[in-house]
Amino acid sequence: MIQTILDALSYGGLYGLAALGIGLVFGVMRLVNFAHGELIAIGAYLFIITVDLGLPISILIAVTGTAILALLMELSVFKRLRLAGPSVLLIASFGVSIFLQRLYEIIFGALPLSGQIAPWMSGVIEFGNTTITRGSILTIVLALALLAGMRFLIENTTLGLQIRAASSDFQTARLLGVRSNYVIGAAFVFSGVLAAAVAFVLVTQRGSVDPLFGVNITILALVGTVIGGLGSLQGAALGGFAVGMTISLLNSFLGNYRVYTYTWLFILVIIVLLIKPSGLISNKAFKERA
Amino acid sequence: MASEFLPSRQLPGVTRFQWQQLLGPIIVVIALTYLTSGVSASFSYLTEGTLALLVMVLGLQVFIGNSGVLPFGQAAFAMVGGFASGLLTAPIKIKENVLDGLWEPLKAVNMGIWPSLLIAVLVGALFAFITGLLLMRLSGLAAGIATFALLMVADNVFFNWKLIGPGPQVMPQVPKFAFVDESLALTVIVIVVVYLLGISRRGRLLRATREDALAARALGASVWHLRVLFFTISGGIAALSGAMYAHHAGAVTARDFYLGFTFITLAMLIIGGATSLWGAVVGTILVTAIGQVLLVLEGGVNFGSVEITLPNGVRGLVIAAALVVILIWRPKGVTGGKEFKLPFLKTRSAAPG
Amino acid sequence: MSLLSVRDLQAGYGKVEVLFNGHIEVEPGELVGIVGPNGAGKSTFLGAMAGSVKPSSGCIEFEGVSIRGKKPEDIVRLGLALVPEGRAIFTDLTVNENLLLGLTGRRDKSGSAKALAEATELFPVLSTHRDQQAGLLSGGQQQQLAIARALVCEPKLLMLDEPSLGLSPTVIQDVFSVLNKIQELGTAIIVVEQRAHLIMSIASRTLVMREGQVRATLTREDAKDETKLAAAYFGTGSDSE
Repeated sequence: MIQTILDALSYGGLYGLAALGIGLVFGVMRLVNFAHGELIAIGAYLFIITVDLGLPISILIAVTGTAILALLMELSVFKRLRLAGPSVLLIASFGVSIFLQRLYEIIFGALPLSGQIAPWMSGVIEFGNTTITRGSILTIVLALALLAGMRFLIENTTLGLQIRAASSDFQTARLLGVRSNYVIGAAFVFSGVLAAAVAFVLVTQRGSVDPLFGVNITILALVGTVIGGLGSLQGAALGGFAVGMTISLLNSFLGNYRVYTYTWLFILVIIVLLIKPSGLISNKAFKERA
Repeated sequence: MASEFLPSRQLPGVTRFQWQQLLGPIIVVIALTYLTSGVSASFSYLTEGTLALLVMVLGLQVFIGNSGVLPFGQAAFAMVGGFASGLLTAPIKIKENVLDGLWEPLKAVNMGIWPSLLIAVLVGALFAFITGLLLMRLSGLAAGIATFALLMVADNVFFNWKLIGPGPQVMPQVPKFAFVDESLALTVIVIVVVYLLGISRRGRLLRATREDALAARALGASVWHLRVLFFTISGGIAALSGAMYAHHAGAVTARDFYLGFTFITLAMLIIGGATSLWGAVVGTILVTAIGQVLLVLEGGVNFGSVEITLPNGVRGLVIAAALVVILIWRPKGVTGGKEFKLPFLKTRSAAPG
Repeated sequence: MSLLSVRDLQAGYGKVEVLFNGHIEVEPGELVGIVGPNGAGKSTFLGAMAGSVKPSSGCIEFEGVSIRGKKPEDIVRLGLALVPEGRAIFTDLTVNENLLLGLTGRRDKSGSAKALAEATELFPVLSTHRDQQAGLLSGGQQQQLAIARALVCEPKLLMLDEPSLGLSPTVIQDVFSVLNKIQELGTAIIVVEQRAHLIMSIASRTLVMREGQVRATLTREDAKDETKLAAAYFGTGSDSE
């Protein structure tokens, strides 16, 4: 029972991180970035490739590499689509996503690469007569630390203030002198860092990475961002958390019917969108930019 | 209705029937079909599969091109059509032996390809109508995400529910089309339907709502009604495409109509140009041709003494890159979103763009 | 040399041109009004000068340097600030955070604290609500916040788009009396208003716009002449230009 709750919390934290990464970019430029999954995948590849260099160096390389790829995405593609509507941006990110998947296939091969990057993440801890997995505890701790760190960054720094302002009304923020390219670039970099964190947790759990590594969690985190409220960063993180918790709990309690977890989840998404197209925790100033 | 007082030239897009706009694409499709299918059996097979894809792209075009809304879930209706037509035509013995969980009445049915195609289209259109009633209340990004959710639901259900299909397995022994002509005939019918819908009064009204929702409402057009209507037709055409695919491949699985299918058909439409029928045709031909050349290169080709072999994955890479490049530099597609026009034939063009 | 000099400006949204002929000259420290009926292109005119609407042709010079086609975030750094219509404050952020955002457009960061202090001195009500969510302020207070936020970057020219919109007459008086104070501090101001009398009583000159064009320039003396104003405003009689 305790394990079930811990699993749900760790899933929630993980999906919350992924959803926040998507939400950050969405906030400043109304892009639902499908290619976030490929950021997670490159993070995982970098972790596995650099496993022999020791964890600190491995983390440094993976986080930097993922952030650089995120920034490259913005500079090479999305920066050139500033005037496009959200649907066109979504399609473009779909294209970027497929492009990178194929690129990974060409570079790393279609078969999974495996490696043990943090063996201490697995195993169990015993408390009297209950045992819990170490991974779930560490995931919760990591997710909480990163969410708290992002919260501090967004609430207490000048850059964070500019990101919040740009997320709620981009035009007015620019009139005040907020540099659009700088803020959007920063949002991409942060989303890359968060993707690397998600990659770390996932790759320790699975022990391998393949070109489609990040697709599933991205689709689900995207759902979290939408349910939580597009344009609200807290909403995105909470939405992702709720989706992760829901999936984990449905998997535990649906028994043989757990294969239909996604059906119920996505029906829920449609219902939320029909009732409140802007999401549950919507930003009051949220507007679809023309 | 107030809209009848509006001179047709004030509505955007094609407004008058022009033979060349309809016959141009049809002749190109027929000519290419016979040219390529005459080369070899494998080319004939490829052509038939491309026609099924073209029908899907046309189904996307009739909705996206007229409404301006981008749906990400039309593959769900192709799935419905593919499963319906596959189940209705597969031999009863196969169903009893392989598909043990199948609903009994479905096990007992067996019919020919043509009636099953008709039923597939009707079932697909019905599903599109029901879901459209709800989803077409949304627009913009919310509509995009909600239709994507629809695809996820359809995939999850078809992948697992053995009462209505093979679940995660392949449904085998679906009867195949005997000739490429059958697929060709169906494609030509769909081209005619899509073109006539585009120049119809409702099609023009729907396009007017895309450009200026406020003005369209003033014309007395209900955006919702029009979108549901075109979404339903688009769903029916997508179902036909799925069914054509099933009778082309001789088998069908849920994963045939998932993210890869969604991506390639949307890429074809956008690369060609989403606002015209001609764009759908050109995009499908172009992407298929690029894909085939690269596929051959992936297998290894000798140019004189030089052997060129591309790694697997290059096809997807190039097509994805083409999509992104088109979105950045030529967002209206290679045709510019315009209909087919003979270069030397002068016609009084009805309206700009 | 004029502070701002605009000639033959055209601008619009996509294919739709809204502004056909915008021209204006503003001297340092001057207060200029722009009036005209709804849809005359006043907001587009201001937006084109501030960089938020792309001009299609024409000439905009600020302190003798062309700023046409520059980004809004660069234009504000040169000292040309716009308070857009409907106040456009960040309702989810606190009053203080809104003011801090205004500092983004400063070129000289050293005077930030002093600029903040001066702005709140001008609008004392803001310092009492410092940590409150800006969306909870009254309409008048929000307008004051929007003006204060633009002032903290110490612009040489402040442009206001319909500051009286949705405010009660007494509150409007408050806002306009502050404009005089700002002008006395040496900042030039352009105010777009629907209420012609209000602005013409304090502006040194007032431009009348109609159908995307500047049709007339009225002096403070002309403002007292009802027929002249009506003629310029509604296009009856011949234009004075």
